[in-house]
Order: sequence, then C-alpha cells, then structure tokens
Amino acid sequence: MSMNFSEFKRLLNSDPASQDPEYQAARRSDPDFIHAAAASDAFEQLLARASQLPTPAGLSDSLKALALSAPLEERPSPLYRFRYALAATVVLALSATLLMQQLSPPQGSVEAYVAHHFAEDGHKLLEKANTPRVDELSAILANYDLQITPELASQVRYIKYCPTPEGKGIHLVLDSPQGLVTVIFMPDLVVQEGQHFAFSDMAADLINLPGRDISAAIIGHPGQLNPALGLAVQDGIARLSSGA
Amino acid sequence: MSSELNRLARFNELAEAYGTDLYRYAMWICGSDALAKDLVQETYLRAWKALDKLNDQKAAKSWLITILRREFARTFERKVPKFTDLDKVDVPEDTELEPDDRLEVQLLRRNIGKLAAKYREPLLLQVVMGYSCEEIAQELEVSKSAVMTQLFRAREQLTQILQSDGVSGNVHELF
Repeated sequence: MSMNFSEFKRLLNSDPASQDPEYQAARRSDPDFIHAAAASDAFEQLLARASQLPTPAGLSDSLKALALSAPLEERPSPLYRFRYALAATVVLALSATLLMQQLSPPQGSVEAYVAHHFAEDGHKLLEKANTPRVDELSAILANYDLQITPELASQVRYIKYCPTPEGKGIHLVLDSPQGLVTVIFMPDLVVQEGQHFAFSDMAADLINLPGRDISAAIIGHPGQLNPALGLAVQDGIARLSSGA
Repeated sequence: MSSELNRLARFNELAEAYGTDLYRYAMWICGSDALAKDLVQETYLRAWKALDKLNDQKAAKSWLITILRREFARTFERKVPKFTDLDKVDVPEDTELEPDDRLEVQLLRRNIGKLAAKYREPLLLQVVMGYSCEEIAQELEVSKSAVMTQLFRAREQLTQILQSDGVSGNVHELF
C-alpha cells in the first residue's frame, strides 16, 4: 500500500467518494484506515441529509410551465425570429380564414399543448390511481376558487398541479362511467366550447367552466368521450363563492 | 410542430431532472426561499430561450448551474439579498434517524449556511449537485488542489462544530 494515513485523511475529507484505486484499497487496508473511513461515511450520510432542504411543491411543473408561457419572440437567434415571423404570418392568414368561416378562434395551440402534455405523463398517471384525500382535493381546487360536488369527488382517482399554456393548472384522473379519463383544467384560457380532436390513439373534448376563465380538456380513448361527460364535469365543478 | 415538441420535451427533462437540486443549491447560496425560487425560475427561463445552444444534454447540469451562478452574481450586484435564517426553514422531521443523528443533522444544516462562501459553494456543488472535484474546479475557475483544500476546510469546520456542541457520535475522529 503506497498511500499514507495523512494523504488518506486528506482525500477522505475532500473527496470521500473518490474512485481512486489506491484510496479505495486504503479504505479496507488496516484498522486505522477502516475506522477513519467508517467515521467519514457516517459524517457524509449526515451531511447529505442536512443538505436536502425541502423543495416547493410543484416546482418541476411550474418550471415546465415557463416554456409554455415564455414569449417566443424573445428567443435570441435571428433564425428563430425569422422562422417564427414566417410561421406567425401563416398562422395569422389561416386564422383569418377560419374566423371568416367559423366565426370562432382556432384552437391549434391548445390542441398541441393537450397532445404534448398527455404524451408526457398522461398514461402513467392513469395507472397511478391513488385516490386523493378529500381535503387535498378541496385544497387544490380552492386555489382556483373552485369546489367539487361529492358525486364527482368520489370519481377522482388522481390529482396534481400541472403546467398549462397560461400557467399552473390541474391534472385529474376521473373514474367515469366510461372508465378512466383524464381532465386537465387550464386557468385563464377560454376554448372553443365542444371542440373535439384526436391525437395518437386518444381523443379530447374541450369545454369551458361556466362563469370562469377556466377551460378543461377531457381526454380519453375515442369511444369513451361523449357530451354527457363534459356536462358532468361542468356540473360537478363550481365556483367556490357561488356554491356547488 | 415536432421540433417544437422535441424542444419542449428536452426542456421538461431538464426541469424534471435538475429543478429540485438547483432550488436546493440556490437556497443554500442565497438563504432566501423567495430569491431561490426567482433564481431557479430565471435560470430556466434563460435555459428555455437558449436551449438550442445546449448541444450535449449530458452537459445540462453544469450549464444550468453556470446560468444560476451568473444570475445570482448579477442579482447580488444590484442589491444585497436579505438572508433568511436557514433555521426558519420548515424541515420535516427525519424519523428514519436516531434522535442524536437528528440533532447532528439540524446542527449541520444550521452551520452549512454559516460557512464562508468559498467553503460553502464547493461543498454544496459536491454534496447537492454531485460534482466531482474536477467539475467544481472548472465551475469555480480555480485549481483542483484549491478545491480540495476548500472542501477539506469546510468539513473540518463542520466537524469541529459538531464536536464543540458535544453531539458528535461517530464522526469525532474525522480530523
């Protein structure tokens, strides 16, 4: 063994996880080294725990939401600015055409968001199905000045905050009469009521909550979705101040 | 649309993988929950805007840390942040630990924040962010031997605090 005790302690207290072969061999070499290594391991364990400060709930989701709310035109690359200027021109032209045809705004960005968001963790969360506590459910909804009827609450199998185009929303899994479906509540976003679209092997209905700037995307397999489901969600969620 | 979705997916990966560690690191260097949140948010906002410059996803962690440290330095230039006492951070009791160990963890937590920045920063890069000594040296733009000395001193000071408070059980023979 070529590492002396002084060198060993210097490494032990500066780079305890070092994979240096001499250091690793020294850790198991004789009682003094073994003892010092054990003391170091105990200290490192405490140090690791001490450094683990609690993090704000929903931090990752709020960071993800930044990408959805960050203005595209602030991107530094001139190439991007050019591409998005070009894309914006095309979108504007298409929007104007659709407006003339349907007298309603296009929902392309909402569709893209819903498809992307569901692709992220939609299937995974459908499988989680850990029925939330009523107080947890109520607390999350209350943050949006919403409350839920006992009937709809009994169908909730999962709830969490999630990023939405205009900030932080709610991701719900409902055990509906048609089976498990996902509902994403999107605050500060009004959608074209009743719009239906498909993506991958899924489909989504867009609805607005009455009297609120909150919309919802109900996502399920194509056979699962029907207007009654949208009405059940609209009827089951009410403004906190006006009562359920 | 697919490149836009890819971009979003890449960004979401970064948020998922490093968001909490960056927050912890930010909290330790600025001592304020509000400022730490702002720093992390600003870091990710800048990361989102410059995401196309990140060619190697494996370099993402150090890229984000560099952005965060620059942002902190910039903030610090403008105003000295009001440091919140880290004692006030509400940490759930670690029931897996023995009572003595819990006391040691509390003492350590309180005193990591009191270490001089030159000792605290490399220690947190190592313990919170999982950096090697070489990576710390690169990030802090100092030599590896200087980093090792700073890490040694940081641990020495923390161990001495545990010893002087008379709560050190297993760690008293470290130095």
